Amino acid sequence: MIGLLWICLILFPLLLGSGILALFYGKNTTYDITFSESYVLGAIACIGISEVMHLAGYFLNWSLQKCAGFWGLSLGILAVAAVLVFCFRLKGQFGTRIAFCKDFKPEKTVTPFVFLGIVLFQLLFIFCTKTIHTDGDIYLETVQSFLAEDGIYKVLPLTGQVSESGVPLRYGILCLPTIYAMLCSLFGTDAELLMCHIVPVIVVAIAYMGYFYLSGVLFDKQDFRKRFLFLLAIALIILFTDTGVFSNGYNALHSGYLGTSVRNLILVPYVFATTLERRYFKAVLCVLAEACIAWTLWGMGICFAIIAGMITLNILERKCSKLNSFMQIFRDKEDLT
Amino acid sequence: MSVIMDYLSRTTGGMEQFFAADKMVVLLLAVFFLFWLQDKKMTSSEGDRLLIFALVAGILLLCPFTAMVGVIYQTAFYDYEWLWSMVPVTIILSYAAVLVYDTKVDNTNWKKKVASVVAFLFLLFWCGNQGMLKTVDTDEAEQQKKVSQMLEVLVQEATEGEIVLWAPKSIMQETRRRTGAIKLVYGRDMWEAKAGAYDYEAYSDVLIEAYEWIEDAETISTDTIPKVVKILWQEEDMAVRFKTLLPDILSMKVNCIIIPMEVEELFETVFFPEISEMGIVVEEVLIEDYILYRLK
Repeated sequence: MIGLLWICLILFPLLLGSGILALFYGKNTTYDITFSESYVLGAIACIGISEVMHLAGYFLNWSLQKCAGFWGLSLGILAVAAVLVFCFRLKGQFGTRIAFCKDFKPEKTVTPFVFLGIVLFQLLFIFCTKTIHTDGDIYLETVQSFLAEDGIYKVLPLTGQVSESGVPLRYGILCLPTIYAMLCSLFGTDAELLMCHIVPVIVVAIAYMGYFYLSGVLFDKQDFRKRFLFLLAIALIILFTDTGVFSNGYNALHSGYLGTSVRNLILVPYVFATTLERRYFKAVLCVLAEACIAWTLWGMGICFAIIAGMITLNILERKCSKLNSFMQIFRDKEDLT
Repeated sequence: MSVIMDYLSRTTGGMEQFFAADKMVVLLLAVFFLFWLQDKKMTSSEGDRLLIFALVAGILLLCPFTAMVGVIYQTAFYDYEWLWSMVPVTIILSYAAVLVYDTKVDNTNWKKKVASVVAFLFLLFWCGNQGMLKTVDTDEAEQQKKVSQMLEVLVQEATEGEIVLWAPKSIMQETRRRTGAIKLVYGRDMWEAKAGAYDYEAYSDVLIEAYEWIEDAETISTDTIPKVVKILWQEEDMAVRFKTLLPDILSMKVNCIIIPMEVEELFETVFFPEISEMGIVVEEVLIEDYILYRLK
């Protein structure tokens, strides 16, 4: 079952993401469908679908097994639908529209191999080292209580005792513990193994997909040398800042299952990429995903703040000539005179 | 006004902790300086916007008053350092590294390339974790191993009926992480304030006293010779405190108690008479350095 779990975790985000991109951009022949973006969008879609199941379990008192069953079924149906949409919308265009097929040329450089070596080390480190528990993190207790009680927040996670007041609503609506509990329920996996070792591997892998997509926005999409250099630098920063929680390592190497880690590793780079491309609909999806996985001010979190800032900047760049002059401090100084 | 002052002091406290722990912001400032000094255009339009965003966001977070607004915005649940999630430090540093390598280093000889890579790695090493990846320390690993053995017994007991456990915190926290089948008389939020942010419950005085009692028992038992244990036990009035606690603990349906083996004799001189008066049957199981009492 572990093998099947890995296959599902690798395949489902890709299928869902590709289907979403084909649905919205299938007829836009200038828009390339990329593996990297498919994975990130697929992860966001999985969060959205899981949130629906979580809310059903939380408010309608569905058992965990019922939630897991419906969740698995809906993901399966949606994955099949995504494949059909993909094939239908991109019929005859696979060679020209799927970026990996048409653009990748093997470069005469060791950078991709060094990068892959570091990533492999990181993924093995995550999978093989003993679990480190972060202060304030109660995810594991929460998942264990869901599995033991076959329900969502029926008891307090830290004690297993029934509580009249329960957990705060803004915490109760977050769906990540339910996702992990549903995966354990469906595949019969140990909660600690799944949550602390398998999920972080997937999160970090998808994070690098997101950064690769971002590199295509910052550099020329065809310039794979620079893009892999960028990824290599990201991998080194994550490796050398493992003790940092916020701006750098994001706990990637030992707490990649946390909502804040998923947000900082997957959603934030994608928000920057989409706002730099001025494709705000995809950025809004990140706001919704963040509201489902991290404690926010009624849905407004880090992603919302970034979008607000980037939209303001984009508008000012177009309309305000003074800002253009200011921005030229990073450009050729001759232009200032 | 006092609420604002509270937030401000929380923000400035958070800033102190953040800048003491995180030196990558220094590298970020160096990157801005580097791009500002450049004569030739290195960045793309998207890169420019990203740099401007990071610069403005960074300045807003460095100013305590605007940072305070951010702390209020992200709710009291998160501390100041989490605001830096919106500043793309990692992205900017990587972007700068690529541009510098591409424009300054790539067309030079191999010695300069190696030197620049070493310099970059040194900067990351010095500003980061000095190559020390976080791992579980030996004491915690030992504790986890002990708890594993204990849990096998507890899980077996749990199949026969509900277990409500009272034990030292090192055992309680591992138990709940490994299985949801065993309930605890109090949780990790008793000793870890951050873990208490997720519920509205406050512990009663009885439970606080129970926690203090069992942690004192754990402390007394650690690395002390039996004679000293006896003296400390009497000095701390452990027997008297336990006698007062026991009826309240049992009223909370605690039916499994784990204590360190070193205090077994002293504990049993108080425990067994009280329990036998209540007609409760006790089973003892010795596991590693602890004794498990199962009340039936």
